[in-house]
Amino acid sequence: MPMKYFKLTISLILVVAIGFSLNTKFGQIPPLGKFLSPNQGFWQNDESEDSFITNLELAGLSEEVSVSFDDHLIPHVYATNDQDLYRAQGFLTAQARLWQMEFQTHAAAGRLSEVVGPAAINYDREQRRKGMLWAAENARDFMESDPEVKAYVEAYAEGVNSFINSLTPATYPVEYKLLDYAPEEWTTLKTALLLMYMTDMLAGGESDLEFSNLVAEIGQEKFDFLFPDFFDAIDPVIPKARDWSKWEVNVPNVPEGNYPVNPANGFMTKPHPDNGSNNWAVGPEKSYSGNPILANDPHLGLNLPSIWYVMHLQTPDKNVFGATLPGALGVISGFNEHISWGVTNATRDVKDWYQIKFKDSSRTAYWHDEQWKTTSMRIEEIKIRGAYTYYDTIAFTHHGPVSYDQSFKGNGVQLLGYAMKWIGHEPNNNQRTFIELNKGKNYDDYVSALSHYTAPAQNFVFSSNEGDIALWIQGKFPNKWEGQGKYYMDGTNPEHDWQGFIPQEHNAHVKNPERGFVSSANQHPVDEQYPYYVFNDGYDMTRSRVINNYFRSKEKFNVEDIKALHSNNFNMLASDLMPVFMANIDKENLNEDEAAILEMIKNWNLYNDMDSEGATIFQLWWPKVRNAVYDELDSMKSLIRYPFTYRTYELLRDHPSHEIMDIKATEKIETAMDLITDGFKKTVEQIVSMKENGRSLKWVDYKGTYAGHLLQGLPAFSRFNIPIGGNSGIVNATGRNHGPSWRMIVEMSETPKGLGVYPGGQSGNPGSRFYDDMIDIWAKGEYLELDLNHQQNGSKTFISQTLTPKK
Amino acid sequence: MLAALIVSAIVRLRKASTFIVPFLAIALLWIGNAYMLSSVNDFTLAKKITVLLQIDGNLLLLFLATGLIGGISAGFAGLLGNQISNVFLANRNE
Repeated sequence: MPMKYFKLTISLILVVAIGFSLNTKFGQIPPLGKFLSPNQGFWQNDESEDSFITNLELAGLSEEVSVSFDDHLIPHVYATNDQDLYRAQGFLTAQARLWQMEFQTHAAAGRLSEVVGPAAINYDREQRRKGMLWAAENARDFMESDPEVKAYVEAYAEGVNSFINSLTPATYPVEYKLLDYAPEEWTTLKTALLLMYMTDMLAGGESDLEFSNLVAEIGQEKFDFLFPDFFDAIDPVIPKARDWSKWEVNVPNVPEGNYPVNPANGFMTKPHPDNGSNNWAVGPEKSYSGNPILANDPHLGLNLPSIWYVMHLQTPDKNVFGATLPGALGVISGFNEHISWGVTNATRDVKDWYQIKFKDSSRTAYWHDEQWKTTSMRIEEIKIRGAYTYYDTIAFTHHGPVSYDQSFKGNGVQLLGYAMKWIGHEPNNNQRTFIELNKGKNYDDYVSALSHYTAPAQNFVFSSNEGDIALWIQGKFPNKWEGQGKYYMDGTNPEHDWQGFIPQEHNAHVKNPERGFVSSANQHPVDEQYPYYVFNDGYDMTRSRVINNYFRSKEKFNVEDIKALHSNNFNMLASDLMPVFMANIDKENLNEDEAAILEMIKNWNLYNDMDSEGATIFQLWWPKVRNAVYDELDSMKSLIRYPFTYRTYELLRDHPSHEIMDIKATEKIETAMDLITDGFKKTVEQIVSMKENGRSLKWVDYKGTYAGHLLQGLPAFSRFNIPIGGNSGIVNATGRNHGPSWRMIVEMSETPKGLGVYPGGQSGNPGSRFYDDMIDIWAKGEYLELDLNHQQNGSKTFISQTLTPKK
Repeated sequence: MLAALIVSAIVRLRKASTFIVPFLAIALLWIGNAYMLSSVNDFTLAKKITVLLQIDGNLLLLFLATGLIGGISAGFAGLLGNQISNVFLANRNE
């Protein structure tokens, strides 16, 4: 072949090869040609003047909507009607956070494999087997049977799609470019999925498997000793003084028979155990200004973009401001011209497991109530990027989906499965609650709005400029017999089914209590006097006491007091434990290092402030003691849970010579004193080693608080070493990657005055200076003003956008 | 890389410019464009991308990589173009 044809062929092959490799994603590396191109790639995402389009047409609007962004890019939206308002909310939220909205709802729906490939298969299977997609479809249908909500949710979806349609590959958010995929159309199903995502995060926890395993291992008596349902020291959400005796109550009786054995092998991922929050409201008599003051700080993972997006939404009859959840409608934690409200997680056991006996391996029939009943089979299609589609067939019983069976984390016993009964599966119109709260004017409107709400159950705090404060523990709660749901239930026995729900009016609630304040911090909702069954599934015993003690400590409060409380670093756990530790330390037999460090912690003021070294010492010491107490459970560690922290404290304080203190592996019979001293010595060794390696002992350095990007904390887009104190279990609940994801304070004057902040930024674009501009403000314990009277084109306007109807 | 080496060994020296010229032109265009886009924003995103690509903070390397990627595509395309004209349009040389 003549040379020139050869050269031609080689050149052609090279060009094709290079073109291919530069435009293809290899593993984690984005297609470099596209990614590094100034016209198409990430270079386009650096924010500039052009990033803000000031005037655009939005299809479907009936009239013009004006948007004024302030200097933190909080949009102040003015529309003439709700339909336009919710359409604009969809558009603006997508403009700021599109990638987050899609990624979170893909995660909820078990569709991550479509984007990231086979690495996500197990995650996606789990989501499908939890019934997330199934329940979202049912919720969407239920929600859309309400014509008003249907119209709004559709308008919102169309708003989002208007934004998506305005994009070109060059203007896609950078994460799309990184992962090499394109945005997909938004649907009303995705709003339902976002709400499922939150429900899973907040009401998806239970310890049924752990408790069942523990009882099987140590027996019921020992189990009850380690896990009492109530403590003497509880300070419940609804004050103990509340009198329930006038209610007519029907609680089911405890059935005969046993619980199943053979629990499943391993379990699904659980929500973060610290997911919770604080909220409170002081009434007029306890406020210097005579106006109630309300505050809320939800505790969630510290992510970028933040789970919250702040908006100010107005129409001629409504003026509401606060934090929204991208994907859902309205303001979730906020205030308007008459009322304010906030939410903390009201955990209750609303997820139970039922052991299912299948007739045969086809799983088409299961035994219940002395007969074979038919399952319905649902085939979940999991598309995998760059590979085949995975089909997972799930059997559904009347309880719910059979999540565990021989094909998924089953224990090898062929014809057994475990079905999930979860309040999250209940078709609901929870969206309506927030739409109504947003325009509520008084206590009655608040109660009426709450009546639609099923899950995740929340302690809704309330206050109005008429002077009322209230707290309602709202969710749809199963009416259980004593002990029901603590362990795996017998799915063949109808007496083990949920027998009904607690009537709405009997959900624990309080209005204008004598003590002059309401508060909740995920503690026991009620004391033993409440007529319905509630058991301790990990209720808070520290933040709640600090908060309530504070409000009992003096007559009146003002907004500065409330700010200080949000940032309060007092370590109540240490306050309980340190006297017990110090009393049990063998002070005579300490070496030089040990004596020095003991002196340091002895002088600690019990606050987890940034500079504190005592806080770090305590944080290293306490878990060692706890682990030593429960050494007998070591062999089962992955399948059980430790007794709650407060119980461990009680055991050390009240039962120091109990057999549980003994360490099985040693000949000697240990007591609390040995465990405490031994834990201390190990702590000192660890500290000496840290010092030798140049590691700082300061609490802020040890804790290393960070806000992580949604892509598993991708370092390039995350923010590390945030300068803030506190810890989980402390009122300032900021842990390593978890904490007050939103802080709001509202003073209920004639026109309520709001303050708010969160550890993130309004823009989801890492190339924007508004991506994380609020983090430092939040870390310092400061707030932004949330002004209901913001002037649309006034001095506080950074940039305006006018959304006009399309001709 | 090896292929490029072989090709350039076969190609006569003066033909090297059929690669170099497009390579440099597009490389500089890309670098210039990228610089303008990111400097108005204090290189906020560009710095983060260096972390992503594990060249922490090295903006220079990022710009060079950008130029290189653009340049390589253009260079080889230019080469191919030259070969095509050589085969199909250069009857006068036979």
